[in-house]
Amino acid sequence: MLFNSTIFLFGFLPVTLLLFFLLGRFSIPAARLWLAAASLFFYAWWNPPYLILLSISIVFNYGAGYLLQFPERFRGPLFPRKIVLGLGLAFNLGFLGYFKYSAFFIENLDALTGADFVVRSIALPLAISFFTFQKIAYLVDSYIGKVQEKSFLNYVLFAAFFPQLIAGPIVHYSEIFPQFKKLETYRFQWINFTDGLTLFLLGLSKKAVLADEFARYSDVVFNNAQTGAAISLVPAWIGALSYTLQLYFDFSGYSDMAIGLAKMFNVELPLNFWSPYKAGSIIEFWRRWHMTLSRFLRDYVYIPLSGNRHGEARRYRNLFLTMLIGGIWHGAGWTFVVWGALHGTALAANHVWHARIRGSAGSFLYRATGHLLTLMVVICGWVVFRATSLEVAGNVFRGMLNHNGAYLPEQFLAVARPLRYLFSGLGQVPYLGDSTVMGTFEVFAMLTLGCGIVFAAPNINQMTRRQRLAVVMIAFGFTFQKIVFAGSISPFLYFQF
Amino acid sequence: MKYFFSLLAACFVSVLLYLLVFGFAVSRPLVIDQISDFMAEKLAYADATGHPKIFVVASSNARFSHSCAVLEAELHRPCINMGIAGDVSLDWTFDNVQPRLAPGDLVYMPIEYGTYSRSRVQMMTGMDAAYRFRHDKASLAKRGPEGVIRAAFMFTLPTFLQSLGEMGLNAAGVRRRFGLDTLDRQGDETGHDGAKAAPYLGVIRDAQGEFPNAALVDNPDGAQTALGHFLDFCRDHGVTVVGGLPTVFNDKQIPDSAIAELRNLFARHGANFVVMANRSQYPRANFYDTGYHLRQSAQERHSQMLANALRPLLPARPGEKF
Repeated sequence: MLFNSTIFLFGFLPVTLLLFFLLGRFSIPAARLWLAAASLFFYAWWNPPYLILLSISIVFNYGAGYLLQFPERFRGPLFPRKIVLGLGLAFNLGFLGYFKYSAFFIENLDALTGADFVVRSIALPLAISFFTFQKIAYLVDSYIGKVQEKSFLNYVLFAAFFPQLIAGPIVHYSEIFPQFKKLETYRFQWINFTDGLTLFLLGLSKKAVLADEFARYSDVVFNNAQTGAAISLVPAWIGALSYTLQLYFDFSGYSDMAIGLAKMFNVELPLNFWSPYKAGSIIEFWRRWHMTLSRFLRDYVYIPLSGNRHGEARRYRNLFLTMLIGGIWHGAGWTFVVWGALHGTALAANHVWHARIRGSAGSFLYRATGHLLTLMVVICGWVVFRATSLEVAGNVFRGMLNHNGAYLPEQFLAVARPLRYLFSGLGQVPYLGDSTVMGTFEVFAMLTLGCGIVFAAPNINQMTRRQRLAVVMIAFGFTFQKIVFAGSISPFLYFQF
Repeated sequence: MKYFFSLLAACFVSVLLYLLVFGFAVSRPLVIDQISDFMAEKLAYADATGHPKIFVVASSNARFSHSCAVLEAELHRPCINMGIAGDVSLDWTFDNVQPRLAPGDLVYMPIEYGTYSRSRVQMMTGMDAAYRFRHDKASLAKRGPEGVIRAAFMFTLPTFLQSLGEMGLNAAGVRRRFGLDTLDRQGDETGHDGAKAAPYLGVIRDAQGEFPNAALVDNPDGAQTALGHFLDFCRDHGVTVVGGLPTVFNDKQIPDSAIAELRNLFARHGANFVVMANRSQYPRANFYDTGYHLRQSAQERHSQMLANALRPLLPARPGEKF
């Protein structure tokens, strides 16, 4: 069930909220049970058989967590906790590996050895990457004593709580469940409900009004690049920039909606975005983009790899490996490997720069160059991330590097004559603005607006309530149109991970 | 609670602003509003001429690929080219043509392949709906509450930005490459050949081409219902309707099965269907800027051939023998 679908907005959400607070007045376990059941229903809506997989994962991790948290409860010989943890991690990684990576692995094994193993098509269970990471964190936290949870119901509610189940934010048990233990969580609170609803509406606007429009511009470029079409300079850059904006508005919109939904239930989820495209360096970018994933990778990959404890060279290696794993986490494909490697290299280079070369950090030129370089790395990274293969990415890069010519609509150049020195005129520029002049104008106008929002406007969390209401007043009409009348609801990009 | 009601009020005001902005403030003078000028020009010619007459009814394929000037000269009766643009709903054209029909008239309909499968909702949200919501709200009432609401909520953020752009360009005196000045008095597009076509050579070379797909006459709820009502009206009022094929590339032949489907559709409502020897298919070099738009020279040749095909189907004038 999508957050932006009418069944969710007008059916699932109001019923779940109403019964949660109604039951909460009489019985907290009943309210928890209802919310957990509703969350599982929410997950099953997509593909009911995969609820079995989620349930297996929940039962196993609850059991493993229990063994790690309360070993004294078991009389007689028991596996050492380290082995329980190892088995738990192996189960989760094996689970993820089978569903997400087995086809990729076999394909590459075939290519490498000339063997002919059959690649079975395995449907990827929704949200597997997210809930697997969350469960790994739960087991590790259980091992180090940060978690104490005996109740199976409580664990199910933590693991399946629908606002964050599908695409994060990736949360720790210790930051979520203590909130469910407070009595006031079960009392309807207008202020939290309204704050949550406002965040939800703003996130919905980002998704429906902005991300889905930018998707139109980027899809036409990447889909045609996939067929081997020659993409010229302007459409190639527009495709790359549009995807850069699409992904941000899509994923940060989703996160805002998730945080808003949780807030309606009086639960605070951690922030996931903080104006990432305003970052002046790639280090800063990863402190602002998908913050809960960065935190997970730091705590459960980078630090266990030894972090920055054994000298600089080891630190850079660890950074590279962490980002490589982060890339592979996103998907089973060489594009994600290259994307992770690109960010790993950029992060390591950024740390080298900071450690050795750093110049006049306060100067405008330094900051501007930092912003520009960061953006270039991020945009190029997104091209690889979006492309279905490295060949497709190469095709788009060729366009961006002006290998296929630079064209604008003839009628455009008739008005903006100085541009003739840079661009040739065509009646219709393929893959640009529906191949119409006003379509091209629309793309430029939307990109200008999108860039204005991400580079110049405060983010939702920096806004006062009054400012948020002002944005709702501007955006809600368009959002309402999209949700109720446009007739096409697109899934969130991160659902595929 | 006060904050909650402020949020509700913000949402309500936002929807109201949306309706006010698109209903009364912004418009798209270069793309949307132009369709009304075109329609008025065509209807003025229809009203100025006597019966029996010929109407060519389709979308932009009618305007670019068919010449009523040629048909008029060949068939000796007034001809009005009702083609405007691809996204103009058929029923808007029908609403305007229907009151101007009289027994003995002929309507030729080379409707574009994609139009047949257009849904009811698509019909309610064509360019004409946008125009009518902004400038002619009363005429939307004919479509009922659903038609009014769908027209009112068909605008997006890009539409808003395009509106601002078009209003600015219009104020600056920028004109489109098509306008009333490129239409002849019969409503045919003219001048789309030679140097004007040069910038589109690459587009035509790479264009995929329009071709009937398997779902050609699926979705009977939308355009086909409107077409059916129109054909029934014509049959009941002594107006001859002749269906035909739109002009497309001749990369591959239009399949017999598609032609049979269309012929059956028209026949069910008592209308004829003509298929020319070339199935209205031409080499890419004959096309102007899209796979449905012939260049003017080809437009005239095609219309010459069409005149020969229509001649035997023309209803005789009182006392006239063919």
